[in-house]
Amino acid sequence: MNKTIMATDTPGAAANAPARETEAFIDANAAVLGLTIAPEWKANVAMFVEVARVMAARIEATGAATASEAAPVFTPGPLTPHAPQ
Amino acid sequence: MTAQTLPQSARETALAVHSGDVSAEEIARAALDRIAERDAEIGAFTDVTAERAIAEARAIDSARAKGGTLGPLAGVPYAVKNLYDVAGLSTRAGSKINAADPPKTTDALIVSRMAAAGAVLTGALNMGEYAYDFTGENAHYGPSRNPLDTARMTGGSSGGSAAAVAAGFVPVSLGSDTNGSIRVPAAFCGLYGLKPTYGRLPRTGTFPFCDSLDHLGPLARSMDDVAFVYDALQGYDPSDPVCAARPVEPVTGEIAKGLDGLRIGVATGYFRVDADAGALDALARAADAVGAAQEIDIPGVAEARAAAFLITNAEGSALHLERLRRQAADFDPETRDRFLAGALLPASWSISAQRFRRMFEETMRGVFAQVDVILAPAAPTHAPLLGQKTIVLGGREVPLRANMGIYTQPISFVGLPVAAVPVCEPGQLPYGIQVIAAPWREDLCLRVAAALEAAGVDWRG
Repeated sequence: MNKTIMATDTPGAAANAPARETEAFIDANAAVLGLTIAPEWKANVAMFVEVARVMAARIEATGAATASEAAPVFTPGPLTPHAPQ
Repeated sequence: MTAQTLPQSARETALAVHSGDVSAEEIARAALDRIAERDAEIGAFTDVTAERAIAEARAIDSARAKGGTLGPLAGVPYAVKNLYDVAGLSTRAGSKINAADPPKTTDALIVSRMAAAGAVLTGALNMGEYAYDFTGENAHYGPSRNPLDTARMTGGSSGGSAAAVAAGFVPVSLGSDTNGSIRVPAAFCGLYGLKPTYGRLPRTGTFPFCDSLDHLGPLARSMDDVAFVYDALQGYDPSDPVCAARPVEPVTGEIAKGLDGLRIGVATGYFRVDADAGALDALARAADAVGAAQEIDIPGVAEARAAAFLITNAEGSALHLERLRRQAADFDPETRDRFLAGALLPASWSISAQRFRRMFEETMRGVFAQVDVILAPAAPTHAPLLGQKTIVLGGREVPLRANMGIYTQPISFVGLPVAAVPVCEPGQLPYGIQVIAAPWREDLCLRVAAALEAAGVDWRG
């Protein structure tokens, strides 16, 4: 696997000039979710979306989407049988 | 006793209270005096629970006078990150928004365990908003300042928890760690800490950040105090659905067992690429101190860090979605934009990240077939200056906040227990080392950490 550290994955210029597709992505998803993103926040939000995009590409390259089941995130308690009616 | 001769450590304090050499009230008043004298400069506390501290201390003294049995932590003053519920206080979780919530009527579960053990709560501690932080800065309550150099960061998000202990206000504090929020502040402030295995300590009554990664744990000035407090916190409780139904596994008696039979590896590869010279020297010193010669290059660490980032971003943002809709302008700007971005992420990104978690868990299982314990840096550098926004790592200037957890995130990603150990040079800022073991082997982390402490790696001159 590629061991390049995340620091080098941080998009440098994205904060100043969000890519058009990123801006469109933010606008569309924010509208669907009912989020209001002030114009002065958008460049920073776009930078974080771009960081996540780079990281998601790294995970996609591992084949995890099809090669594994999601990790358990809870410990179930013992099953309790239904009481007879 | 005078303020100068009062016991300083948690264990010494409890012993002195048990023996009657000092009253719990005297200890509590001294702690409250220290906080009153210096916390305006440090910014560790957001709430000081003076009345409660005196009442709890008096109850201990009264019980002792009547011949009652005292708890193991009798009279030990402590404080908690302000995401722990404390009866009578709103649980701020570092935010302005939650500060408007009604005061809690009960304590978080492990605060009640501390009380049952006889510890005395002195207050709630500053933190990065909603725990999405590695700096200890906070737009609403001001920064917690590093007691070793008040111009510098404590690290976060348990910044107040580290500051309160490093300043000598209390011998121990409780923090939380989702991606490094105990380990990074411990490193920056020269403290010991423990992030137990995921699922070890019940989180009931604490405000979450990212449920599938959230852990609780203690910080202290010695590994013995970390173990002493950790043992009082353990125990299954079904009120936290991820708390594992395991017996209490005390570590206090284990840490003196030393290094016999332990295979200790040193992380290389990813863990050295962007570490500065001081961090690499600290790692080498620690490795020498415990005779760790085997280098371990863990496959997939960068991917583990990326996956932890995505899960945190998506899961944490989902938690705050309604607040982001209604009160986005009331967030700390340093967390708001990351939460907004996280709320927008495609589901496939976070689901794949969760699936990778299983793969990395298998990877680590293989690593722990080769070694019992791994040493790794806790952070790529020492405490940055307050207000600093970028840092040079690997020759590139990168955002500071996004990169202080590069070495801690891959480890908590699969819930491994980690002890944090400070490594110091006289006159220099400390660095931090992670001592990492397989799940449920906190005892091994603490044995190696105690050996490092005994070797004097934390000596500041």
